Amino acid sequence: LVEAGRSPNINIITMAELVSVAGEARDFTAKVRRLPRYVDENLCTACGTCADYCPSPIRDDYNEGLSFIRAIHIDYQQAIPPAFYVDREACLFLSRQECKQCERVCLAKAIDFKQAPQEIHISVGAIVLAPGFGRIAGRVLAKYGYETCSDVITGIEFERLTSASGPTMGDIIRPSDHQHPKSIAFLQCIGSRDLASGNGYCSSVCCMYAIKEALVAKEHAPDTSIAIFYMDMRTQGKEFDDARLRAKEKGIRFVRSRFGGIRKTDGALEIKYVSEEGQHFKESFDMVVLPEGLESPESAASLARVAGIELNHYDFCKTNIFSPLETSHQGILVAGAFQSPKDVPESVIDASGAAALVSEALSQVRNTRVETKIYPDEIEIDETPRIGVFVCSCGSNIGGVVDVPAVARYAATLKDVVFIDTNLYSCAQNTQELITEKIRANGLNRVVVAACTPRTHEPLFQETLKNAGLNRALFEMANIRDHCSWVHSHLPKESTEKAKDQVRMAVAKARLLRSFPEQSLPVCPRALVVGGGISGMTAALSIAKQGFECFLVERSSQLGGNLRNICFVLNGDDPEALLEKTTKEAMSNDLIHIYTDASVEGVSGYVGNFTTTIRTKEGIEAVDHGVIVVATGGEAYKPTQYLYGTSKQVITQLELEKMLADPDRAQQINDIVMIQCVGSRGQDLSYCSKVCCGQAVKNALRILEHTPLANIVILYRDMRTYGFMEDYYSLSREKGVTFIHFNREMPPVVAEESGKLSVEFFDTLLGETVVLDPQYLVLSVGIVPAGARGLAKILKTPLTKDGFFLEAHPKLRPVEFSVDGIFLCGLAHSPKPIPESIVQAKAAAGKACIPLTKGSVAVEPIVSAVDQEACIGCGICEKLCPYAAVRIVKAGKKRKAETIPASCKGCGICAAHCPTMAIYMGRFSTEQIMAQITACGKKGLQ
Amino acid sequence: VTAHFCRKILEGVGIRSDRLALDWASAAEAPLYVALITNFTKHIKELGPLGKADGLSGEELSSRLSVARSAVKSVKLRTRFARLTQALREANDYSPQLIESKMAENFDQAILREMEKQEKLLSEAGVGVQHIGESIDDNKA
Repeated sequence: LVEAGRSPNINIITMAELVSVAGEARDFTAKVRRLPRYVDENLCTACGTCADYCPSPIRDDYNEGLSFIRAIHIDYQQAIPPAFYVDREACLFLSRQECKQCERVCLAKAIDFKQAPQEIHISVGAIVLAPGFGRIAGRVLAKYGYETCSDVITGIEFERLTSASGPTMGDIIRPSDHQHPKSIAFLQCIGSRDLASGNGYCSSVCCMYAIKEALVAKEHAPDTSIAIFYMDMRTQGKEFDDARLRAKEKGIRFVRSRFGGIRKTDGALEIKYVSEEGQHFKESFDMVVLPEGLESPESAASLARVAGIELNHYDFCKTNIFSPLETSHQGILVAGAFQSPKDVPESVIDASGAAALVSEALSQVRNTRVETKIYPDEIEIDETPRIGVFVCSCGSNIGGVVDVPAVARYAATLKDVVFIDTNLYSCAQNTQELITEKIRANGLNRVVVAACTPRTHEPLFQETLKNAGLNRALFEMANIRDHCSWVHSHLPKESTEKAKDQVRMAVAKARLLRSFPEQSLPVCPRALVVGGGISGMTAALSIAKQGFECFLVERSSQLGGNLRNICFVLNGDDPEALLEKTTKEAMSNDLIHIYTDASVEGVSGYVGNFTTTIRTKEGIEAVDHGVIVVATGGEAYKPTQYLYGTSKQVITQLELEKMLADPDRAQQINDIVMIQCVGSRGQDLSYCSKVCCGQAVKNALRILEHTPLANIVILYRDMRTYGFMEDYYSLSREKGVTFIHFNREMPPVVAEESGKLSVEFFDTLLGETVVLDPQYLVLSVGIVPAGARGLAKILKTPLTKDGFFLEAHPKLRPVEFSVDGIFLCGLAHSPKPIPESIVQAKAAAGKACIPLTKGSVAVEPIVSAVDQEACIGCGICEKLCPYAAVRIVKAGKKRKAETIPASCKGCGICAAHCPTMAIYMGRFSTEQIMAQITACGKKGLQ
Repeated sequence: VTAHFCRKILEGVGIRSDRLALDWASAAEAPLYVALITNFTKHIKELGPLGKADGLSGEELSSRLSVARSAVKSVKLRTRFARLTQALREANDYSPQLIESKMAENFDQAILREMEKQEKLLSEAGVGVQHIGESIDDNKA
């Protein structure tokens, strides 16, 4: 958020809606209506004084209406833009022409009631729609007692209750009596998989977020008894099943059941439900949580009209299964839950993928309308520190508690401080300019700002330093807002003393600050893609379309990977055509160099400057490139259980699919039993393979097309046909496929006697053991990673316990590695269906092209540096570095460590563990930190 | 490991190891953080000022601390410390039990030996003066 807010090339227009779109792809004109904020974004410093004086309370939407705020407000502290806004209806001035308190108390003069709605015309090359999801209608929630029982709350309300920044500061209490609930029930599939609500689809995320909330509730109060009532537990995402098992271990009950009704009893809520065995139960809880599903966004219909795009039958954006980010209107893309219900990682992947598509479309005009800042040349600085201290009042935010002039006077007495000043708002645009002038006029060479937090404001002030010609490493901040005026607001005298302490410490450190040369390293504008399946090909094509050369390495003799085994997909589209089209495009693109029967032998270098040795049948070739995309894929798990390999009647889903592709053979199939989760979910593989449920439904429907009266029994643990796939699951049930649930502890038993196959299983609904002798037993086998281990060793990238590649952050950085310049997509990341692989490949290509487009990698002034004299070449730093940013090189006869600044994140692990303390951390050196600590204990001394 | 290392060294120079606290609290765990700080502050107040409370004079305390500081800088100890971290990472197990047992295996003794060495160095007058000088310099800086 902060990054987006700070980018000179992202223009954030809030309180606005799209009114019309004219033109065509690469040349759109979008008309946007902007509603008045009544606060000037550029002047507002978000100090909050206006809200202190605003007399009109409203419900806080950000906290789901569970608390109150004022008509003039900001949604939350870190909101971008960091400016307050006025609720039109609640404001006394706007509704009744009285009050205007805020205007009088605002010292920044930011309130502007003269603002009127504006229409803006923006000319753009592409449009990305990301309106998110809508909320489940009240009438649906009413069925579960939401409107009549105050202790029935939605999952999102519960989320706010558990949040430390929420209305109760993380205290989970019942709305009715503010007591801690001793028992909580979660009811799944609220407004999902429910034809009565109009939503036949599965919302995909609710099972997982219910489990998360249940675990959080358990953490808050371990004695709470928690039950989750569900139909199928759909925790199909990467490592999601582990969370489910953790929840089970913590004593959370999972009850497979159908909801029957809810009623308020004396101080509790009674739930009726039907168990799997068909028995009726009643159980009482203190609180009932409804983890509501994801509805299509409220604006869907109007957005569709304005943007000229089609919606699907659930009012989500209609997309093609093999191009999931493209709407029916060329040049208009979609990302996030508007495409289909999805969670954070998938939304983030969508977003990067959509950015890649935009970059493909606009690569011809790249860099024509971007803004780059130009700074004055850096001044050579003198060794003698000349420190300037600026103390900020932050309106009354700091000044109301801390005696700011006193702190400034005190700062003036400190050694090497040659200039002091106080500001009302240090961060305001005009003050920034004043600071720049003062730095110049007084010849300052170190700057200390005592104000708010460096987390949000350090880059801003560093920018100010750069504008004054100072190196940005010569800056230090003392946080006298969060640490003084906020936490000790009732103790002004002590706060002032503490602020003085902090300023003294900051000055002590500032004295030792050194310039850090601004480095930027060149990037070799080529990419290496490892793996030539649909993911690898899609990534390579996207990189090429974005205008960069690409090496595509495939270990087998031809491109295509697993897609070569897929004959048809659920919605009837043709995967073979996709394969042919993609392969052809990849082979005919001049920018893509394809290596088949090839393997990666070795990789050296770092982001921007990799050299890779590729071995092919012809020999060995070394190529230089700037980034790497890992798309090594996966392969089918090879079963040994259920007589696979022994009986000819036992086959896998892929083998069945091959048979079904041949019409003659397909017609002969009429009696099938399928077993799900073969190998997966606790057998040989601990994880869910995500695709097998959809695959089973797909093949079952295909059989019924040929033989409508065929007998098909699917034995499953949880049917995980998430999202819109649920439609096909419902259809297969309607068409007569029998689904029977089994537990992990009681798997089906398969036997063969005198050439006759039998499958024995326990039917919970009948309460009996059933024996069937089908024509074929089809095993839904899982997916295992292919060749990950070898490549991981070469790249020094980590793997998960299941052997898939481990991304930098499961939610926020799902296609990147912690090592810079290496990206990830497809089955190598985790099992997933074709559309998700395609999107992830686009996302990886989008991310990979960022350094290629920039042409250089900038180095932050916090990286480590090795003192070659003191280094003994022990190699500990190299082994411990999580970013592969330290390497051992030969210096003459000795081995010495060396930082790769382009990869270093400044975490300090190397410095902390260096036996000879030879590693210096930029801006956080041992001397600087010791000076700060020493200054802390030296009150009044210099 | 860091905490264990530091505690051993503090014990070695006769400073109560519970004067050091190392805990984790995420940004979402404000109440936990408050509890950690409040309890630690309360505990330290109960113990009283460093040195005085344990019957050490200012001079004695500062010489002991400089022994501790030298020990922490010792290449030998730091190498063992780093190797230990590496071993834990490879085992992917950071349980206190494993740390305890690994420390006992080959680290605790080394710490004690190093401390003895540093003390001896300090007691040899010239070196001692140098060390004290150093610590004063540090304080001045």
